[in-house]
Amino acid sequence: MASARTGIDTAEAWVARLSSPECSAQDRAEFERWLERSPGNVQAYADAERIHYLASALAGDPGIAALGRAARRETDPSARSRRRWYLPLAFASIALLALGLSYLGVFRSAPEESAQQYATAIGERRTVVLADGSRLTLDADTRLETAFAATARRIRLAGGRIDLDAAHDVRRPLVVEAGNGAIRVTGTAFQVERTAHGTSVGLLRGQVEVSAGGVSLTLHPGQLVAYDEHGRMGVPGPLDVKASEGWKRGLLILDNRRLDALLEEMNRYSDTRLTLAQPELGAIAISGTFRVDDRRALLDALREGWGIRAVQAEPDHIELTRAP
Amino acid sequence: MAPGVRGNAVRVGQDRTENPQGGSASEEASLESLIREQHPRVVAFLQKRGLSLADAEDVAQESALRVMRYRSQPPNALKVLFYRIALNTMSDTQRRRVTSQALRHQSLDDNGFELVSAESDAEQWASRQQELAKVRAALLRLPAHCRRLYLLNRIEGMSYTQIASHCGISVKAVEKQISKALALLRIALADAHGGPGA
Repeated sequence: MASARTGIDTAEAWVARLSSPECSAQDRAEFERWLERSPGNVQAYADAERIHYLASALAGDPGIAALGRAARRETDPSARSRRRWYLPLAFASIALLALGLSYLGVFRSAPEESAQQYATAIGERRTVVLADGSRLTLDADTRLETAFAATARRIRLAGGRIDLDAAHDVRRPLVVEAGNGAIRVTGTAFQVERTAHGTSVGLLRGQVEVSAGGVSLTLHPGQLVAYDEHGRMGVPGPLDVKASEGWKRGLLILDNRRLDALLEEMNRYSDTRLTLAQPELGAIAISGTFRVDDRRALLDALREGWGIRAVQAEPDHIELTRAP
Repeated sequence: MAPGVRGNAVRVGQDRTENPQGGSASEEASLESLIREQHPRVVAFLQKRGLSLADAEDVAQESALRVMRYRSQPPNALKVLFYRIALNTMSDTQRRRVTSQALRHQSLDDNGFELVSAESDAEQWASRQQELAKVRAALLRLPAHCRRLYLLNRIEGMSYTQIASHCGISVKAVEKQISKALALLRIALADAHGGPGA
């Protein structure tokens, strides 16, 4: 029975009211009258407080913590119009020379000795040795073109992910173009991944210079930097070396990987697409090691750990949903 | 605060004939030991909220008496209630005495009100982990707006006032969404059977 004065008649409403700065002494007195009104009310109240407490105990859960941070952003009216990039990047405010773009101009006008296209199918992984001796590993569903001229070596990554162990040649710098930016290499091992959201560059050995949107920076071994489709450059962060070596062996080694980025990666390995029914699920962070060809294990983990169910939407399309 | 309160509380447990509200002897004994066990913790809880030792003792004493009224309820529920009533009593006393200055701490959060204290063995720990997994799954199923406000409070640790000004809404609207989130969580956990209190 609701109190005529407060209108509160559930344990949950009482928990919410008692935590409010607007809770009055009358409210508190009414709360105790409500407790006495029915024998079940005390237990219901205690259960609600316990759930309330357990929810806060999830602050240490990486996925929930990420959702909490996302909630802060998404509820900030002044930030609502800002586009979010899939890595938590704080955009650098350094204005540097647009070296990268000028390189592109040079290469486009130079005569090209040999142009070669490479592509891998879904689920396929391949390593090739290029004309200059560089070793190139293509992850599944990757497309690229190489063009080697007398003064320059160019690789244009149309999509997917590569690992490149570049042959050293100071007279012919190697440039990888991906999305709205470029990576300039001398002799070095690094990886470039191009997705719908943008491009990320991870450096394993040596040195590369990454240019996008008029900004260029030098990446050091063990660092990763990303730029989005508008060429906006992020701040370099640590490269997950284990994960970046893992995909070459068919392993996805995840340390707080966002679910949407993970699905994009999984989709390279199967003709059956995985998508999210609710885009906000993309913010969930996943950790663990999965074989790229073992979707079942991943789907089971998502169900057990996150209550996310897989629904076969079409023969070649699985939708992940958290609807009850 | 009435003098002799502590003596009273003890005697109720010792003498069954002086139990006009009809609880059984074992109920009385368990309630008494619960209160005796929790009393110093409630005092510490109140001191953390800024009360002097003497004031905290008084408030805990009065709260214990009020908790006795619900003696037929399960001990775990009474434990939570003890802290809540102590907090309410403290707020009432403070409001009477001074200003509403310290009233921003209205929730029971910061010590988990002893919810974890009983989880000393591995089995209890495991069952709490299961419960947490269910709460997590239920959180993800909340409607987006409701979930965001709830997470701002629970995960980001923002007060109603902070949430209200961050989101540009009223404190009342925040309370409504918190209440709604809790109600939906209860339903989801009941569906998952074996949720809290099920």
